[in-house]
Amino acid sequence: MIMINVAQQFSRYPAGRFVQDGPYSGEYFRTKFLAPALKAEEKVVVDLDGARGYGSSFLEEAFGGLVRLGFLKDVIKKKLEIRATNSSLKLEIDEYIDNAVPGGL
Amino acid sequence: MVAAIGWALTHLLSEARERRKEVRAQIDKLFEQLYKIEQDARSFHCALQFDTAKAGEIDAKIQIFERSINRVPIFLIDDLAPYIIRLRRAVTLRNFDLSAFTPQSQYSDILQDTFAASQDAEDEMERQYRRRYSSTFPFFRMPSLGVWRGKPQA
Repeated sequence: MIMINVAQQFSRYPAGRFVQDGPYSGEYFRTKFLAPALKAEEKVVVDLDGARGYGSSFLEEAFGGLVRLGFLKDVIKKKLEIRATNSSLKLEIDEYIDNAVPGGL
Repeated sequence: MVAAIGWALTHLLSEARERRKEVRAQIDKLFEQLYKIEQDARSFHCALQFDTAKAGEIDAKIQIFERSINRVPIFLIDDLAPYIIRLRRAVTLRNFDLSAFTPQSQYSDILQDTFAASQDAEDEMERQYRRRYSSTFPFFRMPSLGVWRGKPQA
């Protein structure tokens, strides 16, 4: 099992969708943290507390992007656990995973 | 005995009124926060250039708004979460990245979605307030003997 605390290990100010949008984008978070962890571990816990808010474009690219990258939705749902005091974040992430199109944009 | 019952009833109603006023004040502050988020979203999306600091402020304000909602004791958070998601998505999913920013007109669908999401969130908060506090005497609803629906407040 691996725990990823976004605020402490990635950034307190995650922002942007793609790497060209800034240093702490959803794409960068997915590439450097999420995808490797999901490949290597049976359980990945992502703690969203402590950051100064999340934009939907960051969340969609970080989590919905996993499906576009080739991760199966069932596998993501089984391995990934989101922890957040603001419960809407977990629900929103679930929607992005559900609605992402494999290999799509 | 009658005096004691009368005192108890007066005290109960007075306490209920005070709680109602506190909750009303909390909700009115939430409406102000919502209005500011909407104004910030408008000025951000209509600006000539992408403003990184402003984008960060908007993310933070939406987070603070949700944390404030979590502190209102009468709210059923499960019922409000979809409205928060809709607001955050309306403001920060499209046109919210340096690589994809274009100045929006006042009538763009992003701003219309933001306005609609804000209004709907306000209506839902008001609906939950009215469900708990009637507009007619005694101005509050007695709790049922059963369990409150939804997630209990921490």
